[in-house]
Amino acid sequence: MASTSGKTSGTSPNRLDVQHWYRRIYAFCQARLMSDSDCEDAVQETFARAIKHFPELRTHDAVGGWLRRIAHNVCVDMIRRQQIRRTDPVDVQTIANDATSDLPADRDQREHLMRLIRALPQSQREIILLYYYESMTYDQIAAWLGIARSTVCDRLHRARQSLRAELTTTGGAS
Amino acid sequence: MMSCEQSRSLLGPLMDQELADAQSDAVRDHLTQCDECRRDWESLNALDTQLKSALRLDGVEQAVAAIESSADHFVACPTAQPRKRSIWVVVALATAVCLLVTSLVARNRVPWAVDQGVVGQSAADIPIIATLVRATGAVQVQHPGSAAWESIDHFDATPLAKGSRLRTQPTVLCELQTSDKGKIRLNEAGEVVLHDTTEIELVKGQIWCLAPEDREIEIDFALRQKTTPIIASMACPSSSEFQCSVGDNVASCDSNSLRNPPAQMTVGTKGYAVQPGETVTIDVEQNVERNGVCDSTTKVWQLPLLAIGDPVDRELTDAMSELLAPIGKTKARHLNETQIRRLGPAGALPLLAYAATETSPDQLALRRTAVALARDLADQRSKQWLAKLAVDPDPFLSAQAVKTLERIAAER
Repeated sequence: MASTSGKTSGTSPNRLDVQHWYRRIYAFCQARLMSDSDCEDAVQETFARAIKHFPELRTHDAVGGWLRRIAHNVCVDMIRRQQIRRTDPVDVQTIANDATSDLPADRDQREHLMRLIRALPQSQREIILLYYYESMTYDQIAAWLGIARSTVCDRLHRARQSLRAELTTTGGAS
Repeated sequence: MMSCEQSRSLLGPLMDQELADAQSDAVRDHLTQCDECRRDWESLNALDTQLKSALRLDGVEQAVAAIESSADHFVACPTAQPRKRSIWVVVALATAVCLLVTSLVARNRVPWAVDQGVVGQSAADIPIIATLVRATGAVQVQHPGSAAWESIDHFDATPLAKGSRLRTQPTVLCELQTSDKGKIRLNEAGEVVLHDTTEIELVKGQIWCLAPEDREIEIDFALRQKTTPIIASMACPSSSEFQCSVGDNVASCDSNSLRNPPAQMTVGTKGYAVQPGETVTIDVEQNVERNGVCDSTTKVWQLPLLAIGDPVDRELTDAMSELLAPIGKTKARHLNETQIRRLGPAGALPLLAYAATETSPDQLALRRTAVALARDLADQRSKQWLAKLAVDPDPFLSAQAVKTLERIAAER
């Protein structure tokens, strides 16, 4: 538990341990942004801002929450910029449906699975990513997201159910 | 002996090694005896394998190294600026504290009586995700990080931070607008937690939501039973309007418009399709009841809320035209009239607001119906609208309004 809240590890008095937080911040951004390149940019920007302001932090007890907040602001900025750039707004659902519709041409199972993951509700998507990227336990995920363990269990269950159902209907189940 | 349903809900935790030994033995025991659950287990493991191979994050080391090397610039070249700036920060903070204390004293509130959660976490820390736009009375809010309830009487776009908990008293309705331009209305004696703009937890009562154009809203709720609650959620697709209510052992979801796309309600491990215009009611035993008609009376509770605001909400006119049109003509008369009457004196407000503000000549018959219906319901609160109607050019409307005003005056 302690490692997830960042109280004992992941921080030193002078330097932010990027390695320690990288995967979960990646999951955070990926759950919110559609493209992998946007996600990578957002992660980089989050850590750049965090490292810059790290010395100003008076306490290192809640670095996790602080990082999430920075990542959130970065993602919001990014989504806003995209909305300005885009003439025709595209929503998550449309992207997901478009992606599955050209399935026969797409033989890459990983790509297909990633598209299905992107189509999940954000809350479920983030938990799936956290669980598999970082191999976090339910308790660690709960502490990181600030939600109940039972909620973690439920969202993971629902995410897997939807993925299984989608894979069965689209013939991707192994 | 474990049931299949119990076993299925534990397969994920079993695979993730998150079960206590006894529980995990019980599930494994069940798996040896149940072919169907075993197939489920196998397919879950197959998915897990696929996910493990798909969700590998390659190149973390390089990415971290790149971030750290560009960050070294900041660490290696510390400037004198922060120290200078910190003085300004202290001055600014001191000024802010003085201003805060002054404003609190001016409002006859001492600073140490203020809820820690609000002051302790500055507004900049937690994003604002919604605003309280209107309510028929005082709404209680628990700000994130605080255990105290604050009563809000003025609704001029009161901002609500992510994680706020909101509840309404037995005679109060309220409406929120999310920062994504979604709308949420909470019925009397309800409670919600705003986890995010698109994730609302309905703790009790009834909620209506209109999802924004570009994203869905997820309403989470739980069916409470003796042991563990069954976690449920309703995913409301973008641009659709849905309504959910939660009681002791039962919950229901209405797809409020025939223009809605089909949606999905998840209860425990099961998913239920909710077709456009359909109401799906489910109890703790997962007995499902479906009512297929898109019924305008399911939204009658919102009428007192729609009567608030200047100018009067166009939605009120549309709702009233829809509800009142059948009155006096079909059997729907009874249903609609009964529903509106059930609102009591609060129901007179939308009826009179509609009658007083709708000016189109072809609506005259409906305006008369509205005033006739409001005649028995109106109380002190309706006096303003009645006074306006008392000088209406239509003799029926003005006569009814004068009579109603006389009745109210006599009751005082």
